[in-house]
Amino acid sequence: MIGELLLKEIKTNSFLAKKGIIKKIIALVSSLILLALFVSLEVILYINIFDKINVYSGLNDALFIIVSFVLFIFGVISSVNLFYGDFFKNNKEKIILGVTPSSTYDVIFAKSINIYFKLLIFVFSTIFALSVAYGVKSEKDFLFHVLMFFSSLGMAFLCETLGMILVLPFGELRKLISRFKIASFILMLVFLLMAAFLYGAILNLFVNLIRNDDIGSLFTTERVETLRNISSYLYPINSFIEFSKLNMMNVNFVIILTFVIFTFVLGIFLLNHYLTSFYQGKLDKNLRKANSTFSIKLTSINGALIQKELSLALSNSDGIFSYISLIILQPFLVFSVISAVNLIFSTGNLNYIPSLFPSIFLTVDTILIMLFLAVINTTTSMSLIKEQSTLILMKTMPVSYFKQLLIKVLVPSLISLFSYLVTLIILVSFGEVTWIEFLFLILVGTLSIALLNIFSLFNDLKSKSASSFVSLLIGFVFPLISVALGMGLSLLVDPEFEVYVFFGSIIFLEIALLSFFLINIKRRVTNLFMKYEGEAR
Amino acid sequence: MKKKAFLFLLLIPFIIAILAFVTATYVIRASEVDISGISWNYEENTPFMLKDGRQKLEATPIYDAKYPLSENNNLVWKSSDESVATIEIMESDTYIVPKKEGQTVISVTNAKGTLPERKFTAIIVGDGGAIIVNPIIPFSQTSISGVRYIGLYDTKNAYDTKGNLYSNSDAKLELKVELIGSQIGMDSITIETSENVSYDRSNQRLSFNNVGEAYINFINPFSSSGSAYVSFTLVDAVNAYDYEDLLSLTNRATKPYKIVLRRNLESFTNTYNFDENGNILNKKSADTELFGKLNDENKVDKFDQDIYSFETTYNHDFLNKWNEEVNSGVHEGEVTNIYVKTGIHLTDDFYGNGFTINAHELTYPSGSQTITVNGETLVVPYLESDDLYRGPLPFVTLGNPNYSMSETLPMFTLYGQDNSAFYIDNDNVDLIDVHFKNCDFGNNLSNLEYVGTTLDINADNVTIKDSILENGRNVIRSYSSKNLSIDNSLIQNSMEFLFRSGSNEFNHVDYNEKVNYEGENGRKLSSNKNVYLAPLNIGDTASFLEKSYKADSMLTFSAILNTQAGEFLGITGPNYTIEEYTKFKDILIEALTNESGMLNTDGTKNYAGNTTINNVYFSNSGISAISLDSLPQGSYLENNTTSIFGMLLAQYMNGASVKNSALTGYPTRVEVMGDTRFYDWKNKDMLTYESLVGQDIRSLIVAHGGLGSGFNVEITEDDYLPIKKILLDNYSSELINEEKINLPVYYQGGGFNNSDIVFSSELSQKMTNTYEIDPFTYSLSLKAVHSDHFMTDPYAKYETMKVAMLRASSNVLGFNNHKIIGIKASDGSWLNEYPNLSDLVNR
Repeated sequence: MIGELLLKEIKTNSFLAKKGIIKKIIALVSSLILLALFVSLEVILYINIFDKINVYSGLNDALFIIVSFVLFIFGVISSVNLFYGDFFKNNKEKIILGVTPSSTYDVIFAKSINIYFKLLIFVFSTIFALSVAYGVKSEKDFLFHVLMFFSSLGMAFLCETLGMILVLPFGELRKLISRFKIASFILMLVFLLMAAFLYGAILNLFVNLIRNDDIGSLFTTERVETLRNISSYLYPINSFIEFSKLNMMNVNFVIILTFVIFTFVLGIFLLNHYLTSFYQGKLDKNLRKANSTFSIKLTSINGALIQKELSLALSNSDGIFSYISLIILQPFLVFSVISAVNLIFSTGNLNYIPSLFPSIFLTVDTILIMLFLAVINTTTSMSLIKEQSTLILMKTMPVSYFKQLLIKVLVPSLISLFSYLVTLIILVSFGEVTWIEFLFLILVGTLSIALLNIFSLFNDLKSKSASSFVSLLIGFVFPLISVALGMGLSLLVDPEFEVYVFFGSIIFLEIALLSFFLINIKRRVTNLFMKYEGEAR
Repeated sequence: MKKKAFLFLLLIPFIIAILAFVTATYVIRASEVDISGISWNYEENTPFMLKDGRQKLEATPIYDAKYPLSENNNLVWKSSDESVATIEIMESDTYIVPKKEGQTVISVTNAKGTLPERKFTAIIVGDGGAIIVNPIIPFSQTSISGVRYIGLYDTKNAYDTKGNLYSNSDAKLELKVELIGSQIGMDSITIETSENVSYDRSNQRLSFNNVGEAYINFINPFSSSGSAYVSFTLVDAVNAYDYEDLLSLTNRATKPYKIVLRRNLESFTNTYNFDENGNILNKKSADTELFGKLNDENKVDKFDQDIYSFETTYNHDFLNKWNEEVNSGVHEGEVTNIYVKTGIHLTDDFYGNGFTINAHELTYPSGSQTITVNGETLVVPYLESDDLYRGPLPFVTLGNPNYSMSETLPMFTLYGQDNSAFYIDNDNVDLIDVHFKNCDFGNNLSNLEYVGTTLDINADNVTIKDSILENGRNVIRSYSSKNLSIDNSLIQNSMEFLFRSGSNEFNHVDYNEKVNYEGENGRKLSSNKNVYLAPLNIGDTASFLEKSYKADSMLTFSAILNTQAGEFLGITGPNYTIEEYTKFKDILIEALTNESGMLNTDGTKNYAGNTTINNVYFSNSGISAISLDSLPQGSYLENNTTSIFGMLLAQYMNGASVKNSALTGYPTRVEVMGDTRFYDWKNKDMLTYESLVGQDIRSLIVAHGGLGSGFNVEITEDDYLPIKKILLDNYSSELINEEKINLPVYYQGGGFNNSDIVFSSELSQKMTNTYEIDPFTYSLSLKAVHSDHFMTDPYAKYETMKVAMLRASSNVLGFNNHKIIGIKASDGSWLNEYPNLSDLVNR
């Protein structure tokens, strides 16, 4: 039974889920290429850092443990997500597995093995890859690499068992949050602001410390000692790595074994107990609050549609990456990133670049702003999908499709524009962009937001999976190309005309692309919407 | 996808920042670590009972455990009278073995002898008992002079109101008097004193009424262990018992005070014992106080209210110009500091009693980094933002002079005056038996980069005698000080020089004079200096390419000689010959030099300062023991020539260019005599002149070289100040002994240097000839790598830029030769030897 369940898991959760052998191969190869690129990039970056800080005694040892620990935490979080998705998200599966003769253990093992494979890929492409770089740079024996190999297996297993345990409170927390929408929204808001301030503070500290060309300022003896102390408490990763370095092998082995056995037994026991109740429906309680009164507030059709779009836009189902979260964060994060990048380019080792390319600030700032807009506004593409059960109402209510869809595009666009304007005002107030750039950026951003939202609408109305490539092109490649073109053309003119040519060419490209979507838009979206049947999330 | 893209955007600044930084480089000037002192609990007169037999002696060497000690730092004990007591060593312990009643001086130092001997008198007590007398505030046990000074006054008020007869002396010497091993009472003890002291039996205090040698003698008629004899010298001065006393008599005083130091003023770690959490437990020794104050958290308080600041006595026309231009909005930037700091401003005689003043807490960077270089782990200091001592003030910078706080380094920085731990600007000051040091610095002379000068003197008739001065970037800096005398002292541990002699007086270029020079085929030419030195008009191609033999023309085309830089700059010019360039150097020096007033009417030199060094031990410098300083005299400092170099640098100057600052410094004279020694052999690889000039040539090459990303640009001192290279390439066989080199004298080049050093005939025999080091001519001999596709060949461009920048460095520093005198390798005097302080004590 485990074998069958496992096969099912693999078939439905991997490249084998693709239809057709060609698609399967393409999916596999593209995944491998992306993975290889990712590993290469992280290793190059790590080696770069390793070489630069190697002069500070003991720092690389501490840093390797800390980086590995952070990656391990990512692994655990991913594991929780995977467990939640695999075990608790699919209601249909719950119904089926609730009545099949397979035992809960079989289900757990089958799904866990599949998750373990994924975690193995994660651990080997991150911690193990870095450990190889660390081992080679530190001239460790081959035995270190062998032991790190087995340690990586162990780390992936611990990610799994910890995910197994933590998924239960995580699930319960989600249920709880879904009951108190306003409270959870406020909580999320506070959390977001704190996270944004923390990010800003860390970035500010980091950039200020290294601005004198010298990252050495980060690594005074006291700070290195603190890092070493911290790293020595980062169990169990510290134990895995020290074990691989043959330091206190017995003690570390016992620690690792204790972690593995304890979390495994606890995880299996808790998950089995919980899952059995879950499949049997014992945990299904009516969590909905009874409506004390049912009232209908009469309002205009447009008002009702706008209200509906607002409530969709403000929904917080994607957590920190939801549209409204990013809209709130945008001014703060864009300012933090742009001011930091401007500072880095104007000081330190890169300060020669502005002397060679005076328009570097303009270019980098505009790219970053457009990319942030792309990330935030493509998030609204979920809005039509969010309709789900109300789609039928949209199709049957006596309001033209075009009007409904127009409002659907306008509401998030205006919200985005408001946030964007606040962002620009902050940037110009702090002198990160000039007044001329500010005025141009308003135009560039407005067009960009319109383009992204209209495109997202088309994207939603068509098959989402088929157009993900186009989505990537519009959202991320287009800004790069348009800015590159702007920069290229601006180099051909006198410095006083640089800004005009730079922004002029970007605006021209945006209008050209927007025109493509606007031609016959009413007929096209109406037709597409008529054919649209929604999409499972 | 979106989540990843979003996270990636947030990570972008971190990634760019990580790629942007470069690894810090550390210059290691290895230095042997010796113990800096000995801690024990023996009073000046310590009894040992004869009947107790052998007794263990205990002493703890003081050193920073972060740095491994060099060999021969084990403690070596000695008894002055072995008939009274001997020293025995059993296993790793040392014992005193009493032989008979009497007194013997027990001394201890390290085996190397580099530490002042610490000593006490062991009184062997037999059946007759003994009287033991010790001052409550102990005398120093490490004096070189052997004289114990006591000031007649404890308060400034008493000193201020003193009469001629010292009638209001308020100082006291409190004694602890004990009778040991005897049943007799104090009444049986006979007490004798000198006339200038009186003893009060009731409170066991001595009071004073006149200067001069003084004593008190307690005689026990029943004992054979000798009398208890305490002697000292009373001087017309105020006693300083701690840091506050010292400050009130120096930095905070409104008039000069003669001072007698009565305790060590040490660093935090040398003053206190600590518990395992780093909290203060107690003082290490009764004779030691902290140099500084403790705050409410029992940490060392800031010094910003304590230090003495004064306007630099070095030329600071450029800094003034910069500040005026910033204030008037001519260019961007911040007003830069023209004040230097000193820890203690000495204005009158100072009797050190062999006590140490260690300004570590003031001068040493408060941060540290642990680094590994070539497999060796080193702890190096790191400047935190609130550290006061941050290196010397600039004289001229090609770039923002606020470099220590700035985001970017200037292209070149010529250094002016540094901060100091001690500063003398009053004439007629004597320093007797002082032990001044800036800090404890570990095992790397580079750690002294920011700590400043130990003693900065700008006064006449200053005498330093029986003293130890140590551990500064430079140890003694004497500018425009006449009749400075340094006698029977040890000067050691500097990153650069142990003694610098220079002048604050200078002349500008005299544009009323003419320059005589040679044209084509030796044709005699003559021009006013302003015509000869005038910058080329780069826009006027005809005059630019004219073979005029004038300064900027020759400088411009010498800069691109034997390189393809002409291709890079798009110029081809008159081809001067090497011989013409060599002659030109002397003519240019003459044009930039103004010796007016530097010769007396009798033809002798008008020295701005002179120093007599007698019986002095110099030990462990980074470069040389003695430097005769000059003032920079580069053509760029005068009128921004070479013009092409000026154009290149214009963007780094923020519009603030240096003008009329090619200075001719007045000469100084140093006479070295007696038993002066140079314990200054250093591994030749450790010798470096790189700290004498600050530079950021790398950034210039990266920005303008068009080398492409990823090209590794590495600049060493050979690329801007190739003194070491020229010296070792030409004179190694005469200088190197066991891979070590000892260079007692450096005549600073660049600027015109007419100073003199005179050695006694005995010392002269150990010295080499004076070697002339000529970086300008050397740079002309260099040929850059030739490439057929120069404009697209990064390596060829890189090499060419390095050659051009080396030539350009003379434009900044000046064109005069550097001169160096070494110890003959064949002589090898003081090789592998260390200064023995007992020699100084016994003189």
